[in-house]
Amino acid sequence: MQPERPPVLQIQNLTKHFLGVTALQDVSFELYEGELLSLIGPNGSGKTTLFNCVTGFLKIDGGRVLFKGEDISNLRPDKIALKGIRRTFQDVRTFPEMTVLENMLAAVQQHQEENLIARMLGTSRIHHLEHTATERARELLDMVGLDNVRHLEARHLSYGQRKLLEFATVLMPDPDVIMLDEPAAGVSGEMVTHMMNHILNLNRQGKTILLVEHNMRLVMDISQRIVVLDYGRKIADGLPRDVRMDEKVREAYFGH
Amino acid sequence: MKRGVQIVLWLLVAGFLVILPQLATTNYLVNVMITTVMWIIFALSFDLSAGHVGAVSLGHPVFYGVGAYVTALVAPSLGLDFIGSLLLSAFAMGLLALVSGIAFFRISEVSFAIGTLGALIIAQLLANNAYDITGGPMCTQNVPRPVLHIPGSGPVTVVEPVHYYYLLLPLLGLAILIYWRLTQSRIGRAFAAVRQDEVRASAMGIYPKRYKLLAFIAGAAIIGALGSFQAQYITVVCPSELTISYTLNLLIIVFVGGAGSMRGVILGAVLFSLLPRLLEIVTDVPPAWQQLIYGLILLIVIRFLPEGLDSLIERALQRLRGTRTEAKPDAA
Repeated sequence: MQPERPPVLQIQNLTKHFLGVTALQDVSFELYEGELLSLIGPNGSGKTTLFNCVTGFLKIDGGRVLFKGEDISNLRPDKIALKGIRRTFQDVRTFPEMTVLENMLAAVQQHQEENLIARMLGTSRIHHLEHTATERARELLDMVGLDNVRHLEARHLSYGQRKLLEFATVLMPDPDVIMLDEPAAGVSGEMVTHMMNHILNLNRQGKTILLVEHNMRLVMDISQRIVVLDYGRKIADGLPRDVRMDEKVREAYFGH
Repeated sequence: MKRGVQIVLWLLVAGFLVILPQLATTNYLVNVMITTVMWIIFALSFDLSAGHVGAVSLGHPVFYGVGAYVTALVAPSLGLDFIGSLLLSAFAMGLLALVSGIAFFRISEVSFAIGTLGALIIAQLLANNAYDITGGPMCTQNVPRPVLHIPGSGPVTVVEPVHYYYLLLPLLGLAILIYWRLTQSRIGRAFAAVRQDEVRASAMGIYPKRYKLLAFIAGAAIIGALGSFQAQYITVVCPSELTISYTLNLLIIVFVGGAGSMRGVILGAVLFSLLPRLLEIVTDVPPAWQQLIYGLILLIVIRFLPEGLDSLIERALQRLRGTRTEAKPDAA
């Protein structure tokens, strides 16, 4: 059942407590290169907590996270992002006072992190990089249909447009792992299909994607594998059709 | 704005500032100009962290006062000249900002504001009570004036306000350059990211603390140099250089002018410096009433122009460009 490809992300016995309440208990699974894996579960099952633990926004109480074999447990979020793991947030986050284009550019500027002086002086190499980044930003904006509003400040966008913008920004640095936290939550029916198509296309281009979704039906058709969480524990891990038929999953979701 | 137009505008402003003292008939007027330029530098250095990374340091005058003391107490024994003293104070205050910033940025934004304010009050208490070092309320006296070595003639001690004005102008230029390069470059984008959403900035690989420290240190170094200038200009450094009323003035200048905007901050500083002089000339308003008038202005601006006077200019400029913007399909 497991693909031959090497695992990019390995989550091993991940445990997280909040004031004595167990949010994650011994959760382990692997994300393989080029895979589209969905993490599903009822509300409060620990999906977002797991996201926050993997990306460094929450400290891990037990277990570890390996990225390409390297232990990245409890590293700073910015360091994890620079290693090649990019994420979106459930409560859609954009920089409200930046234009759509600036939002995109802000996602890659740290490539030159090491050379503060050159950036301050604005050397020609920097100008070249800026130019390349702008081109890439416009390609991605064109893909999600936001290129015509690129000079608009993000706060003027609709909720769905901001979701698309956030989705496009995580693609800017061409990351190894893309983690999407409920990309379709709160958007209209048409936009949901739109978003799911983008995700599917991205995966077909070879991108490794970890998708968190509350709605099981949405991810059944596009996911290659599904991991199900319930009360902070992994209760199922397998192909969509097997997971759908799983007794424990049915119980968690439908209570029978 | 086109780059060429921008350069011409800047050159015009620079030329104007250079010629300005020639129009001044009295030392009083030159002093007003010096004060105005000093407030511009003071406010720009404050706005780097307050307006750009959203860290409002209510203790910002610490770097000004302590910078002045460093020049008064340390620089002479090292035999430093005018520029050497400026650099020493700038470096010392940058270092102080680094060390204190690492501690202060561990706490929340509100605690940061109050914590830095506490540091200011402590600094003034120390300056007032460490008689043996600072002279306490008797002040540190006889700070050496700048001595210029002009080729062909002997050393000249700077005494005239107009000469001080010309020593101050390069500092203004440098402050503007540092402010502009930091905020208009890719670093400026990281500043904005940190201010607007720290969590998202982290998720994009930006380490918020690094950029907060950068803005804090740059502001401290600039204002440290200005404190050094002040010490060598007045030749006396008193604990009153660490007064909380400087903080209030900075808040008025930056928030009335427009936080995070160089144009707004400069406008605020100029208005703040010249308005009381105008009030003095037009009517004989006592200083206590001036405070009341500032308070009212601040209230009115915050109520009706929360983004400061600069938003008025911005709107006017946009209207001028209006036809062009509408022609662009992108703006829709």
